[in-house]
Amino acid sequence: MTTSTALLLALAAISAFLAVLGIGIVVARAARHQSTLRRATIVSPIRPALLRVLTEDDPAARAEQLSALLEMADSTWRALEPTVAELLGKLRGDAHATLREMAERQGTVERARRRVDRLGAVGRARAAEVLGGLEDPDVTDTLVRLLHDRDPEVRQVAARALGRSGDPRGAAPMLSCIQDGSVPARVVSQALLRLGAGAQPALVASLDMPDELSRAVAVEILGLSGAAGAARNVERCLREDPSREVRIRAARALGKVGTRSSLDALLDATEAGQPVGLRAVAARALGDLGHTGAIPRLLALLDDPVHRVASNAGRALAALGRAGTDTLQEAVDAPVSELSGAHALEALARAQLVGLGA
Amino acid sequence: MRQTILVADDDRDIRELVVFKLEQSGYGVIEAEDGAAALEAARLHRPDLCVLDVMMPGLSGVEVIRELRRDRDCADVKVILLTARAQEADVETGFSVGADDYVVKPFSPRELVSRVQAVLARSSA
Repeated sequence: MTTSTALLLALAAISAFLAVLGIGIVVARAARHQSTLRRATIVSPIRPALLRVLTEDDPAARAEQLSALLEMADSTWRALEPTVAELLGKLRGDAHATLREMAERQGTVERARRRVDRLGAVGRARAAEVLGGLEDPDVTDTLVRLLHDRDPEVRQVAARALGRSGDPRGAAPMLSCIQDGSVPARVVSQALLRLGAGAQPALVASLDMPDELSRAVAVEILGLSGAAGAARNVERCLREDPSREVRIRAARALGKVGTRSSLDALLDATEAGQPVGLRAVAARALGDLGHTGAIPRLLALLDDPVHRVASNAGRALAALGRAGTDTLQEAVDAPVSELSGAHALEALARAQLVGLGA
Repeated sequence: MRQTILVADDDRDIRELVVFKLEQSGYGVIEAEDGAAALEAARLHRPDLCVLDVMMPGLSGVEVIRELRRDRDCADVKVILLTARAQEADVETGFSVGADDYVVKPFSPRELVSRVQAVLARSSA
C-alpha cells in the first residue's frame, strides 16, 4: 500500500467517524427534544392545578388541593418531577413547603437519597440538586459526602446544593474543598454567600488556614456578606497576613464591614511603603467605610504619583457625601498640584455622571 | 379600575407562577419572555408596574429599566426586579438605575404580591 493510499484511507475513516458522530449528536438532540415535548404534553393539563396549589394562601385549601393533585398517575408525576425539583431551588415560604411535601409524598426525596450512590454521575448530580432544594439539615451529611465525589461536576452541584440548604455545617467542608482544589473557589464562594451569616464562624476560622486561596476567599466572603461582627478578624488579616492578595481582599472587605475603629488599619494600608495594589484598594475602601476622618489622607493621596491610588482616593472622597465632594471642589479650585486638581476634577465629573445615570 | 402588571422572565415556570399569583390577586397581567419583548409590551400597554427578571436573554432587566426611564411615556412606571443576584453591588445597581424594589430568588410568591401592593400603594399616595 502506497503512502497516498494509506492517507486517503485514514481520511476516509476519520470522515466516516465524524459523520457517525454528527448523526449521533443530531439523533440524541432530537430524542431529547421529543422527550421534552412529550413531558410538556403530559404535564400541560395539570399545570394550572400545580400553579394553584403553589399560590394558595389558605392552608386548609392548599392541603385539599395538594391531595387532589397528588392523585395523578405515576407517569404524570415522572413528567412533572423535574419541574418540581427545579422550582424547589427557586421558591421559598409556603410554595417551597408545598413543593417539598409533594417531593416527599411522591417518593422523590427517598429516590434522591438512594441515587447519591448511583454509578452514573448525572444521577448523583440530580440527586444532589433535589436534596439541596429541600433546605433540610438532615441531608447535609449526604451533600458533604458528595463534595468528595469522584466526578467534578457532582462535587460542584453538591457545593451549590449545600449553599442552598442553608445549613452552616456545610461551610467548613466547603472551605476545605478550596484547599484541596476539589471544587472551584468561585463555586464555593457563591455557595458560602448563599449560606449567609451562619457561615461566619467557619469563615473566621479559615482566616488562619495555611492555604492562601482559602484565606483570600474567606475574607472576601466576610466582606460581601456584610459580616460586621467579623470586622476585627478582617482588620487583623489586613495588618498581619503574609499574603499580599489576602491583604488586598481584606482591605476591600473592611471597607464594607468595618466600623469607626477600622479607620486606622485602612489608613495604614495606604501608606507609601505598602504594596501599590493594597494602597489603591485601601484608598477606595476608605470611601466605602464612610468615615470623614479619612478626608485629610484622601486629599493628600490625590497627589500620589501612582495613578490608581490617586484616582481611587478621588472616588473615595466622592463616596463620602457632601464633606467629600466639598473637599474635591476645593482641590479643583485651589489645587496643591496639577495632578491632584486633575484627579479631583475627574472624581467630581464621574460622581455627576453617576448622579445623572440614576 | 384594575391595575395592570407586566411580568417578564425567561424562566417559564417562574413567569407562569407569578402571573397566576398576580391574576389571583386581582391584577391584569401581561407576559413577556425576554427583555426586548418586555420593553415593547411596556411601551404598548403602559402597565402600572413591571416585575422584571434581571438575567434575561437580549436586554437584561436593568437595561429595560434604563430604556423605560429614558422614555417620556414610560419613565414613571414602577419596577420591581426579581433576581437570583443577591450581592450588595447587584442590589445597588438595581436601585441606582431606578428600580422601586428588589426581590431575591428564591422568593415567596406571597411576599412578591405584598411588595407589588406596597409599591403601587406608595405610587398612588
